[in-house]
Amino acid sequence: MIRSFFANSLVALAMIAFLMPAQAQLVSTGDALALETGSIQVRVEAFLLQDSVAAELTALGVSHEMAMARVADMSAEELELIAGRIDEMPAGAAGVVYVLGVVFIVLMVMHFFRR
Amino acid sequence: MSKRIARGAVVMAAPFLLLITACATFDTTIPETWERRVELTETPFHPQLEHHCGPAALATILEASAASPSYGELVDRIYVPGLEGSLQVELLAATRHFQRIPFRVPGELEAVLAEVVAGRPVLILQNLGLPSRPTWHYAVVIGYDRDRGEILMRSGEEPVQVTRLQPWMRQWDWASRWAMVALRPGELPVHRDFALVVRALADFDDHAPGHLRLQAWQSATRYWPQEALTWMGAGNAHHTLGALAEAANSFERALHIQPDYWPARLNLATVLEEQDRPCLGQSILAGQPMAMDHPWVEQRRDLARRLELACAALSPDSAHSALYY
Repeated sequence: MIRSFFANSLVALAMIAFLMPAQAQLVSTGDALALETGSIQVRVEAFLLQDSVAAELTALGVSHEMAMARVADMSAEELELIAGRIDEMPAGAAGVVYVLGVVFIVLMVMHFFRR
Repeated sequence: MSKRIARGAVVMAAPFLLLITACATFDTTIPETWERRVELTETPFHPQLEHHCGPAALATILEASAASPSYGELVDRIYVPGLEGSLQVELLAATRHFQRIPFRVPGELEAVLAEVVAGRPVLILQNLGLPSRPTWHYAVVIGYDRDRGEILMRSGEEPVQVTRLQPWMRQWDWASRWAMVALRPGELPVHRDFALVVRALADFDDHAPGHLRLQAWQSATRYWPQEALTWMGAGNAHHTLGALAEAANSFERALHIQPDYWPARLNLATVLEEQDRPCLGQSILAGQPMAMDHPWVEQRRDLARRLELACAALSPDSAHSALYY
């Protein structure tokens, strides 16, 4: 398993070189964990996803500056999860009209069955 | 005519379909060993403004964890005007922004209530509509009453909303049982699954200041002293704070546990380089063979080269290289 991971790790190699400059700098805990769990690729790609997720948020009415600040706090997995799919994600809102509508339907059903 | 019949059939069938899904029963057992009733009365309450159940709920759990975000700032951070709501991912990200560790609670009633019993209110997503026509809502669980079979929440405009367990479970189940808590750095969740916790800590690590990262990882080293990664996290946090000796100690602990843990070995050697102890750094790198195809083979080679030059530049007396690990 580990063998096969290293065997096709040419891409990973290039990416880690990108993550870890040759200058004296420590391996980050996040990189260490990502290498362990085989998610280093997601982690690198996340850098590229930040701009596109920020652009999606901007298109939905968030200011560009705030959109960039928001994506900066997202983890790699979170960026991967919502990139290109923001419209499909649950967005907690609870419009009161909807809730009333559902209550109405439930009441109707109960009424229907009591007869 | 036939169209009307078909429509009639759908209208007749609809309540049955609704009942079929609604009648699924959920395991709502609350352990007998727990208190009969728990209510975190100290939990602040923020009545939601229009469409703002996300900011209201997040403000509630952040304040309960002693963070003090302004409501307006939270709206800026998580409200998406085009969706008239807030995304789960953004709740997690904003929690990090306010220097708390977001942790996803496993999707079981007992796991949620265990956090409440431990004193932490839990933010949940609910679907107040139907699976096919969802109405998403965020609320905060603050307690339960076992005898009455009720869940207590801060929700919407209600300071204490009481919901029966079965409907509560359904609404939560229809929202994929999503739940989160905001941990203060140094706190661990009740559900201590190593992989989940270190994932949360590592994600926090990328965004937080050094002293909070250190608190977070130190709590992990106390609970999992035999996991190299926790010492790695503590070492990196020490290093950010400029505490080189403590950083080196932590990396050494990681290597005691797992000699082939290269992230800690590379970092220990780098810290020794910074401490002007290149010869010792050299022996650290030499202490363990690295596979030719290891992803960090180049980093190791560059570091070894720098250490070799620096060590050779020192006087022969000081260039003792102790055998190490």
